[in-house]
Amino acid sequence: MSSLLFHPALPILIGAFLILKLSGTARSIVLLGAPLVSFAFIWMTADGVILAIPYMEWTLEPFKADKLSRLFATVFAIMAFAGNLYALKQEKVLELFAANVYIAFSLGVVFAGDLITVFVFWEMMALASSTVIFSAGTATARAAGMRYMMVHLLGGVVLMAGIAGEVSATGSIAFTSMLPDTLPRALILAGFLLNTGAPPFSAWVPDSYPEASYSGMVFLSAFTTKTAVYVLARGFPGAEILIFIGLSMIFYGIIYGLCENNARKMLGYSIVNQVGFMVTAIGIGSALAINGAVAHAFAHIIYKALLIMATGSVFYVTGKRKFTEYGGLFRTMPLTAICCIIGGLSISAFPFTSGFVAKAMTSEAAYVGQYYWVWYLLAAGTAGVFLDVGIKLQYFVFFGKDSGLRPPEPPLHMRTATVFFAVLCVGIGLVPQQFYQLLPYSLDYEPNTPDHIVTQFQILLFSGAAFFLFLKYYGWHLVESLTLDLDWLYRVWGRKLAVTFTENSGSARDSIIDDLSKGASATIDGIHHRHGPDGILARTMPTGRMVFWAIVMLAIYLLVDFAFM
Amino acid sequence: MSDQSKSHWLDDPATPKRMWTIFAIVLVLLVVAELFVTHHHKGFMFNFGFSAWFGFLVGGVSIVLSKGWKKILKRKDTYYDE
Repeated sequence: MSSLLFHPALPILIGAFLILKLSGTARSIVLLGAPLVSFAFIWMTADGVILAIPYMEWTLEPFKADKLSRLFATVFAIMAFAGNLYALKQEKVLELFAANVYIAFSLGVVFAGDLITVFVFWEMMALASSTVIFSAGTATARAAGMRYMMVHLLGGVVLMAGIAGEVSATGSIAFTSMLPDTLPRALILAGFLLNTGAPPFSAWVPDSYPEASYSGMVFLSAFTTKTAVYVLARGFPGAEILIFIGLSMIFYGIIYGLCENNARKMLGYSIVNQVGFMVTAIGIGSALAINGAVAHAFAHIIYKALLIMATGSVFYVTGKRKFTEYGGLFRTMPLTAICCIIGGLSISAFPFTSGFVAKAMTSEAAYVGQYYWVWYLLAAGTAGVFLDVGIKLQYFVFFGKDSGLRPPEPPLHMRTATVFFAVLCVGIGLVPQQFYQLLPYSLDYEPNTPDHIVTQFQILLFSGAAFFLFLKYYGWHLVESLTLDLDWLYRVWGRKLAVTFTENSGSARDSIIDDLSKGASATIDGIHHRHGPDGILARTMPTGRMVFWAIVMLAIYLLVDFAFM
Repeated sequence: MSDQSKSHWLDDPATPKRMWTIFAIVLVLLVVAELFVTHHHKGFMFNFGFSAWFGFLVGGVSIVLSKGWKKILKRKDTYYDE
């Protein structure tokens, strides 16, 4: 049990409770120190089952490590450090508490060796992340947080049903690689996929995350979807259906991102898009593809957090979040703009960035595995991402028409966190082989070859040329609008259904309540009849009869005692 | 608008033209550069200039598709508040 003291989630969990009581420098030390201690624990942890606890007829493995869990835990700890640095002066203590608890639970999932432990931490993540959204304190955040929680609790029910079915069918709670070939396994897959933002439940990402505070969204972007990628990589590598689901996520993210006027929502769509690449890679399932998926998850956490930090800084200093309100901010926020551009280049897989060295493996795996049509669609997806986040976001926020806004750069701690992640994006792109050593499979692959670099530049910049030509000859015409998504089903149709049911079920409800109260009255009367002051059971028993029976019992006891002793 | 921002390169009327020129030169150089590299794989996707026209096509199609999609499903951004 003492090994649990070195679980990497523990320092961050304890830190979360400490910051509730601390302030000033002490709070800052805990916020930045806890992830560092966690990081040390991650690298002190040996491979294998560290802790096993017998539970009913099974053995729980709440602490189990290997290269895959260590890779995700490492980037989670780095993210915790940079996120806490960015949120260092966040006045909403509830958000910081919930965010750090959420990170600790995410670490709980990646070190879980059995399905029950995965489920417990999975559900606690849903509650903690909902609290991060709620803590923004606005009416829209409360509503979005409630929708987020409902969707995730639904996912939890599906996952629980799947796990219960799987355990009942196989008698094992082990979390190992499987295929969705039975109903319980399909349900487990569906439960995991819901957290990736897969269709038909993609809209929760752009709906809820942007409603968190400037720092809350940074935390949210990293953990739920990437923990889902982790469980898919461990549980369902090679499940071919994931290729189709992943590709649909890629193009959903691109098209909706191009339609979107809210910069933060657009980044929500691009989370779905990027996770689509990872899900596709897991569907391909070869060692190279899994390396590609998890390397992409690692790189994505950093560049997406970087993008959300940079746009969060703009939101923080201007209080605005729409493209129609932005423009020309490069003039007074050059550092934030440069960091945002680096994030945009990384997400677009520009050569010499982390996105390039990560995504390259997935494309290579599609080619080597002879999934040529997937290769073409992945290439198209890459070009599309560049239009979205590489150009549209940067152009309409930092360049384009002058909005007249002249906001200052954000405070030092926010700038430091942003620059730290920008440096990591470029650093990983420049020394990919060191990065590859962290990956689960040892493979000999070099992304930075001249042909690959030239063709990647071509595909991205010619796609950019299409954007700028369109802009020059047709104009982009930004308008304050939203684009309907499948969440319409529960936000409008579901709501109408609930309202109609409530209104029309009034008389039925009254009659049911009437019947129930009549039944209850009859029961109470019956009880009163027997147990009341005049009831048959309330009469006193004669003492003589009691004494007689007591003597009989004692006599039997005496006889039995003599007979058998 | 302050004096400082007036002198910013973003406000220089020559900037867009300069950017277009640089961009066009880079695009041409990228296509020329492909003549000097050897592809590690074979296939249609590794033919000369494929990435250039494919990138341009995907960019154009994505924009047109998104504009069409938006035309059909666009609502006021207060749609859900009403």
